[in-house]
Amino acid sequence: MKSNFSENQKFLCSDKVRLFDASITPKQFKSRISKERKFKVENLFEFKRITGDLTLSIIFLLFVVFLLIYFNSESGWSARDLNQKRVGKILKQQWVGPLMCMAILLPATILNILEAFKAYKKSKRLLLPNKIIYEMTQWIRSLEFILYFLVYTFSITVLGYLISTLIFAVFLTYRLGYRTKKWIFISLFSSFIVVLIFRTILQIKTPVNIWLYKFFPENLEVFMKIYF
Amino acid sequence: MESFFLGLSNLLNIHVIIAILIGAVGGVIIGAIPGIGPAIAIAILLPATIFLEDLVSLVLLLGIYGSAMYGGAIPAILINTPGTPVNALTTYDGYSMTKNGDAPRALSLAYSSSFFGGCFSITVALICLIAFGPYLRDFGALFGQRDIFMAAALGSVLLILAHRQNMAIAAMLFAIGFLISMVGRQTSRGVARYTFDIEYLASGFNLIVVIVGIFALSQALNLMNGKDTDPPETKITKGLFKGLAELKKYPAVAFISAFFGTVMGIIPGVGEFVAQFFSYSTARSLSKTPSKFGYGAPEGLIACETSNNAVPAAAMIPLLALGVPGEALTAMMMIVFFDAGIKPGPDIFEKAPDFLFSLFLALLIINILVVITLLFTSKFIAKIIYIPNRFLGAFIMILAFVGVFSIRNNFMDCAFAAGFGLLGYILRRLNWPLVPIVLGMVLGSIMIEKLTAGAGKIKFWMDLFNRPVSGILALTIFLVIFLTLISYIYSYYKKNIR
Amino acid sequence: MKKILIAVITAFSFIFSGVANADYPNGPVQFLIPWPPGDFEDILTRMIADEWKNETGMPASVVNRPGGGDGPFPGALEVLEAPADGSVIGSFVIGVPLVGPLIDIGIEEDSFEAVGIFLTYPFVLAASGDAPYKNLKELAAHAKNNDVVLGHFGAGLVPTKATFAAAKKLGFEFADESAFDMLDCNSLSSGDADVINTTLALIEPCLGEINVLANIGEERIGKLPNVGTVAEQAGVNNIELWNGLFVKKGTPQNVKDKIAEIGKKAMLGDAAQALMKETGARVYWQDANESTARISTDRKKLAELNAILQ
Repeated sequence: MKSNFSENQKFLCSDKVRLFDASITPKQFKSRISKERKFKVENLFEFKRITGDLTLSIIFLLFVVFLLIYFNSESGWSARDLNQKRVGKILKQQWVGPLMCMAILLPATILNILEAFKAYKKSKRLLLPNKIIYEMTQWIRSLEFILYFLVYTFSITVLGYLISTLIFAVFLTYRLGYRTKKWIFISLFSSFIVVLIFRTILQIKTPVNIWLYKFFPENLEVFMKIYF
Repeated sequence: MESFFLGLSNLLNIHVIIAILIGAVGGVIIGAIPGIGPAIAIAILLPATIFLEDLVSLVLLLGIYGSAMYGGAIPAILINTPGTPVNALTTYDGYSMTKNGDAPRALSLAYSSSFFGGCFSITVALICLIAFGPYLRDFGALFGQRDIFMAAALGSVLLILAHRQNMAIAAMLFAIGFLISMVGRQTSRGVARYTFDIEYLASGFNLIVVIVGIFALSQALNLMNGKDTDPPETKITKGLFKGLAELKKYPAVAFISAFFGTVMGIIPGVGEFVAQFFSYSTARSLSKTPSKFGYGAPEGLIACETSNNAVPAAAMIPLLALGVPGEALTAMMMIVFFDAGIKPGPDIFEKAPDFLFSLFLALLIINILVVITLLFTSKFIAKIIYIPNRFLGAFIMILAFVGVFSIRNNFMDCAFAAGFGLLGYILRRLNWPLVPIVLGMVLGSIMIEKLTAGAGKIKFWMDLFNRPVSGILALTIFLVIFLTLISYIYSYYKKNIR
Repeated sequence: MKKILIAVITAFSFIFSGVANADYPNGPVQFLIPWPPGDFEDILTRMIADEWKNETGMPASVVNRPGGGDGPFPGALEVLEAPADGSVIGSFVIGVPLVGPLIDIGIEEDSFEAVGIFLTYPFVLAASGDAPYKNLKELAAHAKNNDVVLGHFGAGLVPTKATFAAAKKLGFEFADESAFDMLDCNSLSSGDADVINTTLALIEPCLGEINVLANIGEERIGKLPNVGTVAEQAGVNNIELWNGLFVKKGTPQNVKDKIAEIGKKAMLGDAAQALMKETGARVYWQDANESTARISTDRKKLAELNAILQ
């Protein structure tokens, strides 16, 4: 009997079949389907549930439960009067609107939670990246900017619209990483234009009792109050 | 017919002409900046223009509304980023043309097709006005409170059903918007809903505060938390007039897309996305070279741009005729009309016919102005797309304060706008739709208002449906829901029958 | 550097000292109308605003803040929230100082000071042309056996109360009633209500085709000499619906005087008086003292009406 082993060995060590070719480097690897060929109009309107979806759905569910608990007292359902001969007198009562909302909200929230849960299970099964913690940190990161916005809003009563806008613009530009003189100048200039257009020319209303302006001489205070 | 000339003469005021210019050019610039859309701009500028004369502020905001989509095509074509959300489909064919070195041709084709779409819907609107105008009063007699209630209900149903793949989310957000609009106290009707005895809640939520929060502040957060895109330098060389003539080669596509855009604009609740989708698919099936679609087919570009520019003028029609806005932008224009002293509704043709003509004529002038401006200044406007994103986000935040505070001079409004901004940011990250919340507020408040006012005449349940218009609309609602259910059951059936 | 800064600031303050020492008005003013646009108070207040711009050179804008069925009260509250310096002037109907303190929203009897009353609305009860009644008596007869639905601007407002009181006195009851934001020709022709309580301006375009049943006011309207007042037909008192300019309590006297001066000039001017002749509204000017006295009288009349409705 001929040795199959030797024949196999010949096959395995043959020069003609190269299982691993070190000369193929990553740069030469090209997808056989060019990127553009995958275009489909439907993909534009596609919707896939991603990481934070289940979390948000649960938050909405809790919110809806909260509204439901207070439905009786807050929407006037407790004061309902259904013994009316005319349907119109029932429809005029104040709980009709919230009832319509609840009628849409409850099924929609429940359906949404079910779908979100299904998508969550699927992504776990397929071992798709699913770091909820990452998503939450992104959400919390944006709180920083909201804090800046609220501080800006508050500082307008203290420092007046012009000064607090200039400071806010420069601060945000610096915080976002544009730290060269050119960028500071651009932000200063553009926020000044904004103040000029909206406050001086269009005269939108801004808070009237400004702490800083109390220290100015009378004429300047009135001028600043009207035009800035 | 004299109203036509009266409307035209209203526009010949120097302030109005300046406002048209600023609005048109400003609108293009705003549309061209990816990240700011007309919704954000109008929401911020609306309270600031209260101190201007009525027609002036109206024309200014109208200019932004009508010309933003021209500008939105510029970054879509040059750097594959849509300037406004509705230009998303333009990126495919437009950017492919740029990659082939044909950027000026793509740009001019986009401008000419937008121009065609805009003029088409404006002409349709003007013809309707002139032809049916005098009969609108009798027509208006058909539309009472219950009928407008049904129209708003139909708009809501269509809005929710248009989000085919995330209907539950759209419905949930719509209902939440609806609820938000009902928070507050109305003493003369003895109504207090969800006030929790808190004074701020008793005065309710203002629509502009919610819009600025959900659209503008969320976009600002999105831009600031994201990365700056560094778009490559694209040069626009000569040859910007090439594409103008090319439109003539595809009359069928142009007319069909304009038609779809106009029709979808008139139906409340449906907007530019569905219009684009339909016209794109139809153009592709009618084309001789369907495989080129998505890689530089001029028909694709024509289909997108024509349909999305036909929508604004057409969306004005249900707003003016019924007082029911079809999308978020139109809802804001409704507030603009209120501030200008016009109340949209079935009797507007009786009360202010010249206003209607001024409106559409102004839109026409804006379209013409924009095309002429763009043909000569595209190079300069294209430089705007290089503004870094994060800086833009900071800028939007500054402007957002302007918009929110000037409504009611209330700090809690700013805090709530910030809260809505956070909500909008989270929704954007998860690809959930933002529009249902806003339209829920608008359509919901219209529904409740009309229902309560019309309730006097409702003796039996059938009184809600036994008027001709409300009966037809109710039937349409029922049919639409029924058909959607059937199609769901059918596809479920098909999936599970092997 | 510091010296330059001080010099610049001082220079500015000298240049603009003219601005600082100017008395009222030294900034833009806002006339706030708590109703949707189109009605008489809207037209006349816009006339006052135009006169303001001509007289003082300062911008004056007119803002509509309709309450969405809540009547004029949300708009009135906005005037209360503004500072008491004459920058926001309210153009209010009788309901605001009279009915406002009775509902619990923060308006007291002395929250507003009257600057002047300038308009009496031709407030009427109207029904569509093919209704089988032409005056209140026929309406009463018809309503005893059929359903009649009333449309009005708010259940707590003065004209609505006058209508209900008249109905009670004549022995009939409306089958149902609804508060509307706007009542005009369309409300009647589309069948939203059988009888509406509205002003003549809003039903002007179809005046020839509808039946005006009664007029709520002290005298008959010049344009409609055959329409009796509610007082004549039903025996209730002749409380009138008027509109006046109000400012927040505590506004300085010179501010009020300036507003009164311009308001009087506008209302007694040609445009306003021509409007009066055309439309049947009464346009006049009652100064602050007369207005305040009138408000007290009207408070008593309203109390009477409320007593009837108990």
